[in-house]
Amino acid sequence: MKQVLNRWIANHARVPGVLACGLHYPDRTVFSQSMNVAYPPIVLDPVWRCLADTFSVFHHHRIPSEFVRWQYQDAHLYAAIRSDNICCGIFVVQDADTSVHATLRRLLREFKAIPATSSAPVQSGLAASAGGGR
Amino acid sequence: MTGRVAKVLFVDDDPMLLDLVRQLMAGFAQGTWEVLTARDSASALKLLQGNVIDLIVIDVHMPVVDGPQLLKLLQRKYPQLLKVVLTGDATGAYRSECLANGAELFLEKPRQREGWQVIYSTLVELVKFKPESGFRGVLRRVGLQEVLQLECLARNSSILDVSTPHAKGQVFIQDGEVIHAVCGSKAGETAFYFLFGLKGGDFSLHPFIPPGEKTIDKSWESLLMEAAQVCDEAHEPDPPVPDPPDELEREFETALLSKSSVTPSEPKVQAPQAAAFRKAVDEMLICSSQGEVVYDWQCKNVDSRVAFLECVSAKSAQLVHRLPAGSFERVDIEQSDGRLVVQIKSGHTLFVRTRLEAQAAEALRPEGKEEAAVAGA
Repeated sequence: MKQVLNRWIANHARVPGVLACGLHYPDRTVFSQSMNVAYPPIVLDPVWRCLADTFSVFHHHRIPSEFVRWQYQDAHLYAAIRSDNICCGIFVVQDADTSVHATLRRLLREFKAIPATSSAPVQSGLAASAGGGR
Repeated sequence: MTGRVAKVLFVDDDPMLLDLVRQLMAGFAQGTWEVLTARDSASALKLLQGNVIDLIVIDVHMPVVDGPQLLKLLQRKYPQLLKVVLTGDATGAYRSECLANGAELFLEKPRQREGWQVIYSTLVELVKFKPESGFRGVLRRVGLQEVLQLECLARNSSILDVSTPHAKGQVFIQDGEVIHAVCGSKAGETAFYFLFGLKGGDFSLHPFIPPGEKTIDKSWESLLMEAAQVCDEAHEPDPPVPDPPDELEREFETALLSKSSVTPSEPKVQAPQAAAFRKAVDEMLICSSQGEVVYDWQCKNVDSRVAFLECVSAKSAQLVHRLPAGSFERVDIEQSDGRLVVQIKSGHTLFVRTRLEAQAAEALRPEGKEEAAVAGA
């Protein structure tokens, strides 16, 4: 499952404006993919753990969350968590095109829908429509 | 944290573990840490009263007051203190409870020396980490005013260090009276009022050392009253922020303006829009930079919401630690039946929960904005 999701995010998050993406698994392992030198994997790894903790904190405060978008001055962090507690985060530049934001939302929706037992790469039409990484 | 020895306090009911930790950490730190230990929560609290601790590392299972309870206490009394949980019982339930009660990290006790090296390296990073934009200071249950009042009422002698990214200063309190204040080239009452008006930032109490001069004669009560007045005058009104035309931001401003009794020259929210927005809102809370509730609408459990805001405030900084993402603006949380927004702006924090009934969603939908997709999701 990890390989499938790692491959899926690496392939499909190559959207213009995306700075980095990553996954966090319930066993605390992570996968990081950087598309921008300012977002190196060594710095990203703890981010995904922290991101998973934020979902845990939301849950503790009885705040269910389907999708979360953390907005900073220069970047946005899109995040979602699946029912099997695998969590996904995508950093994108703050001034990305509106269609990119919509694409990322669709991508996260797709991430949540990938079957837990999936062993084959999931087909997505997003990469084709979204273009290459930055 | 550079240039001085960091004080790190470990709290655990296992004396053998504390000995091990003291030896290992002292070895790793090479004199850059002073490692303190406490076998229970009471001893830990006593040490906290007499020392400026940079980081506290707490076990979960302890007699009488356990780790999560101690965290809650510390969150109220020392909200600025960095807190980490180190436990052999790293279950998901404890993890989420501790993180929700202000722990920065929830770590599992290692079984080998290499593991302790990792723990040390992690803690070093945490001790180094001081949010520059003052997120941590944005929400505080105990404000500068309260600390001053407590010190003065108890007739204490101390030095109160106030620090923000833009200014640093000190207030000298001797036998419960404010005798001197200094901030850059400012001194006396001017410095005191200036420090009092700073937004965000950190403050800490230090042992009293007599200042070179005495510049304040007024009673502390008069000083606080005048400081509050000076603050009010200086802070009103903030210039309107017309862009982006987001209903949440408008509501935020409207609530703030109505609270501070300032009448805007032009109405910021058209009546029908505001009414529609109000219909969509389930709950709203606004906190000041001191963590005080400024405005509350249909908030069933204010304390819990303030605790949540504190968590968001802390996590927002941790998430982009060492990343060039810029300062935090807001977090949007989409739920199956609604949407929740936490926004930190001009020293105030806004919490809004909206439901997504068809009519409400329509009211929230800004024309042509991608927010429409969020609201409509």
